[in-house]
Amino acid sequence: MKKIYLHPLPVRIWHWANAFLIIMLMLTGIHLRIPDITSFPQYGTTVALHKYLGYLLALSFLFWLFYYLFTKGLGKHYIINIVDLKGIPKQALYYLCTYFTQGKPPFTPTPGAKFNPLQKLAYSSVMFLLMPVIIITGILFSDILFFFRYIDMVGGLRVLDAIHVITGYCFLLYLIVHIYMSSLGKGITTYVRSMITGYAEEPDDESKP
Amino acid sequence: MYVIIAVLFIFLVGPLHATVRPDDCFECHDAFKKYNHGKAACTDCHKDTASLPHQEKLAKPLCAECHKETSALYAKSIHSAGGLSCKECHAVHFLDKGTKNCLSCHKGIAHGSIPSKEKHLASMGCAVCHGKIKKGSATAQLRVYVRKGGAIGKETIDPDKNSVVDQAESDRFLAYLEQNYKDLYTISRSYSAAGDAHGVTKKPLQCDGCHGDGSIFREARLRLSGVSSYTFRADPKILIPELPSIKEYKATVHGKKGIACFDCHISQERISDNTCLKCHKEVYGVYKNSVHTKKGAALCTDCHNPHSITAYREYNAKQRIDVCARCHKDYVDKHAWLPHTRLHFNYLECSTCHSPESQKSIVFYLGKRSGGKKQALTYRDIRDAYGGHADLKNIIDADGDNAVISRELSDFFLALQKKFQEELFVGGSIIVTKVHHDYSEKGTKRKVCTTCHSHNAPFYDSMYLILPDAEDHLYIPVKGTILGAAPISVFTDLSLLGEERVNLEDIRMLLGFSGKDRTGQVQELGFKWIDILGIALFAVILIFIMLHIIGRIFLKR
Repeated sequence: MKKIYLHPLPVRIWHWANAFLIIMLMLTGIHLRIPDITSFPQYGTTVALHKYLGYLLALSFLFWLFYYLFTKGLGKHYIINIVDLKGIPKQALYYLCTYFTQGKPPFTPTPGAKFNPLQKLAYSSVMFLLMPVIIITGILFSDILFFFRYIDMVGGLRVLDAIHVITGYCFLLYLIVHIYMSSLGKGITTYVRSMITGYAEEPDDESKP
Repeated sequence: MYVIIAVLFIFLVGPLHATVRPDDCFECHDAFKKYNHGKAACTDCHKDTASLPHQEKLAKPLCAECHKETSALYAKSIHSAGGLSCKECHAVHFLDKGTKNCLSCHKGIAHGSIPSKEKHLASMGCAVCHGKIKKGSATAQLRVYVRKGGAIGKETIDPDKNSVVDQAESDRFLAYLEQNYKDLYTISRSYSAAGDAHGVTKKPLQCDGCHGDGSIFREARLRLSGVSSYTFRADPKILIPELPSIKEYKATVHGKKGIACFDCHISQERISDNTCLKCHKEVYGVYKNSVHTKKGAALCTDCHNPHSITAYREYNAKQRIDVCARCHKDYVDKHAWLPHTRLHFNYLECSTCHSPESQKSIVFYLGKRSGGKKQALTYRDIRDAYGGHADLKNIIDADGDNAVISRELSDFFLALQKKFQEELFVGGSIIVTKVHHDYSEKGTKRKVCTTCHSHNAPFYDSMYLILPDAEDHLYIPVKGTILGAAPISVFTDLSLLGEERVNLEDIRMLLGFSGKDRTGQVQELGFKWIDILGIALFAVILIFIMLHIIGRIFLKR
């Protein structure tokens, strides 16, 4: 079995920190939106936690952005090109059919290009669209009076809230698919382990989403 | 020829007709020999004695035949209503014996308390207030006697040389005297006002009669004597000061109910809580046990201004906070624990939290944005928009059920927007609509956000739309999910974390299980659609994953 070093340490730390932040923000966010679904005993605590975890998420996003800018990884791993677009149907077909018939995965990750076309589409949507939207709307919420001019430009508090929540729902939908697809490796925990150790154990087998 | 006969006839027959003279009367009515009623003869009043001997029973003389005006005035008086005739006060046969005055009957009566009682009673007769006084009939004089010192020039008193001393000139002159002639001058004020006692009514002249528009005292003089002697005409207000807020008082809540100045002001001292208690017993019962009174901190008038034209219910959240902030100046700092402190205070008043037993309501109002500023629409705006008075309640409450639902509000709002150049919005705040005066609840330890940030919050059951009307505001009850319903929610300037989101009833309605008509209800869902779609997609993905898992188990992957 060949092992390749796919996920450098900073990326792994970022991934798990980001995972923790997003899950916590989701729990507190649901509590904020529907006070009957409690995440922390005090609504006030939840309000404060959601706010400060949000700041951390913004920092985490900046870390990710600068890390990949610095290592020039954005183009390699995240930016979708024509070849990727063409590969999307094939990759989707793999998960829906070929995966069950023990067929070979159409994509093999390498340190130079570690995400398959579907992964690229999903991750770049999350990182370039959802993340900035939820962070910016969240920052606008952090001091409503201070940012009121901008909130007004968006269409008011209620519209801002709608954008923030819709993005939140997108994160939720993405998260369950992401977690489920992490189990599609050789073993159920294969991909999770590789995200902890950094080493992909089966580079010539399927790739994870 | 006929003319001469006619003239002779008048000369001869006339006197023959008036044969009864007072002397004839005195032959029998000896006691009236010295009668005195001006030039009137006995028969002028006792008309049925024109020929003698007269009937035994004579008709009652009618004073009104000569004293027309006085009688008309008297007819409306409380004394006339009490059945008193002219004779009760006037010795009609012997006017020289004098007339009864007020004290003849109302002896030793203790006059009710009024501000500056001694001064008022000393300088004016009863009839000035209790009788009828003609406008412009009273005069007043300010006498200044300067016994020593240099001469005072005219221009010192009347610098603008218009020969009338106004309030500012008078104030300046008195200050000048105090500065330059201290202890060398004396001041006296005199008032000359006479009312007609025939017009005594139950309701005396109100304070504004003299201290209001100045229509009774039209003339005043300032007379300087001593080192210099001048007489100036003066503004009567320098002697009879206009009471502050007297002009607006009639438009205030108290004024409209006919409460007179002296119903509350029995002296020039500030009124005490006992005065308010006379009418507001129930409210005071609650208030007296609260922390405000126990600590002796606040009188009723510390918070309430009975002279204010605006009733407390007409105040918006900001104005209500300003009342508390007169004492609780550091209220923002004290609420540092509250996230978005200042934002909260844009939408709440203090009583929303600190008077737990008060009824809280969400109140919506219509506002416009002009020049980046938000302001509530006034009655004037509405009148201009509709080109006259508009019965907004009937316009907005189309189905006439005395409640507004979101569709009615949005239809009205969109129609109204077309009449305005400026962008309109629906403002909202959470304020107290029925006050409980116990503010003892400090609430500093509880800090329970979910009191308000929950769909169970009490104010969702008590919502009002406040619309400006000619005098006050209209409070129209609002029903339903107005906060989130489309499209009005987009124009609504109030968004609450923890508002009601989608519930089972909504899902049942959408799926058609509730048996309700779905048209309109779907629109009412408004922003709830986000959650409906979110949860639906979540379910679809879960089902898909389940199918995938089943596939994996089945194919042993």
